[in-house]
Amino acid sequence: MPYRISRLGTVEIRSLDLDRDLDYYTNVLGLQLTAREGRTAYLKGWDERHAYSVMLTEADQAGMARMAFRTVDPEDLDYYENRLRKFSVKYDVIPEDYRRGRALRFTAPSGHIVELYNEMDYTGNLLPTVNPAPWPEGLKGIAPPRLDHTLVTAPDPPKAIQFFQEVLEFRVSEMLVNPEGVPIAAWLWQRPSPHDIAIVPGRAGGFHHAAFTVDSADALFRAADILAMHKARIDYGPGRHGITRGTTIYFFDPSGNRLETFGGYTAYQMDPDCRAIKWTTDQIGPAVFYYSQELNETFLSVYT
Amino acid sequence: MSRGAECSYTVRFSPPGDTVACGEGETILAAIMRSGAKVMFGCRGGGCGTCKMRLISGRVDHGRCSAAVLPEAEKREGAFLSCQARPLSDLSVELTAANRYRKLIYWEGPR
Repeated sequence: MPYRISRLGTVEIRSLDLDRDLDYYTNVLGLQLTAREGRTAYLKGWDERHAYSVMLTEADQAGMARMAFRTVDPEDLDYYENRLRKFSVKYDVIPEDYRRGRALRFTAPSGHIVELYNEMDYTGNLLPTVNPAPWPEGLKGIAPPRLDHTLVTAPDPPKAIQFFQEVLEFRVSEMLVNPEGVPIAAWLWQRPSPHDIAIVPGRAGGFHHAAFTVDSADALFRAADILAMHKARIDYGPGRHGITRGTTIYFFDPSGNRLETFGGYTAYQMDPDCRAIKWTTDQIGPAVFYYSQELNETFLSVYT
Repeated sequence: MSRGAECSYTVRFSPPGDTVACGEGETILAAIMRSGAKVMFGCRGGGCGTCKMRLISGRVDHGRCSAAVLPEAEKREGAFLSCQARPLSDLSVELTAANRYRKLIYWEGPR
């Protein structure tokens, strides 16, 4: 089975105060502001080559408005349109969005608005394409190179997991199974990394976090320093997940949305024949927070 | 009447009956933590609703809160998010088991 989704392309996060949060996203998290159009700001990590990966939209509540996956090829969009029809999934064709081409929009069984698209303006990263340096100077804040993944909540996780597996052809890298053997949470991938999206139990449409890549232990600890200097609310970390092996800091934006710096540098690379790793719910502590070996007060219950 | 920077209100929590001083402009959550106590809270950004409490008496400035976790109807019944709310008068606040109010142990000097 070929892989047809190149990455989690964009997430739209709701902000209770766009001016305040934009200051945080650009100076503390350190994303690049690429445009601001009315109530939405468009941002990206310094190493992302397309026009944007994060939309920050002012609203009267926090949470995620939508997520969008980018297909590998333009034809993959047609392929998925056929699959949506085959599985009788209701969808809308969105002819265009800001600097983006045609998209398919549907609601997943988890209650989230999901889009698939291929075309987005290719604006390049912050480096030249001829004889580039490894990173650009003058970055502010944590300055993660890119958006990595999202974790969302679903009232019926097995159903939502099955949807992402069957209809969208994601594969499970790891799962958390209850004593009856039912997967109540799963980490799903297409890009050869531990996950592009993960699904855990919770409210329909719930947003647990969006994660940004950090690519070294130095970068992880520097990120923690920056968050603490700015008195940002750190939820957990620096630490390590049992699931995915990735290093982590969970923290919140000023509107209360959880974000993560995810250190995929410690994680593994998936191959097409990789088989799912299983974690049992009695080991949920080390599965989520490997070092403290127990959940904190907020992991299961706090999300937007 | 103008109020100086050092002016503070008294916030009484029941149970357990503890009172804390909360500065004008200070959030109620910040005052609780400064007093050496702790309560359950989540995002500290007004987005998740974990730190919700209820006023028995007094007035607060609610700050910026998600309408999904603190709708207007709940505000009218006295609910507020302690991570955002700032006192506008002395307050009496009802705590529930969900707030998990507890005193932390601090080192003390020689007696």
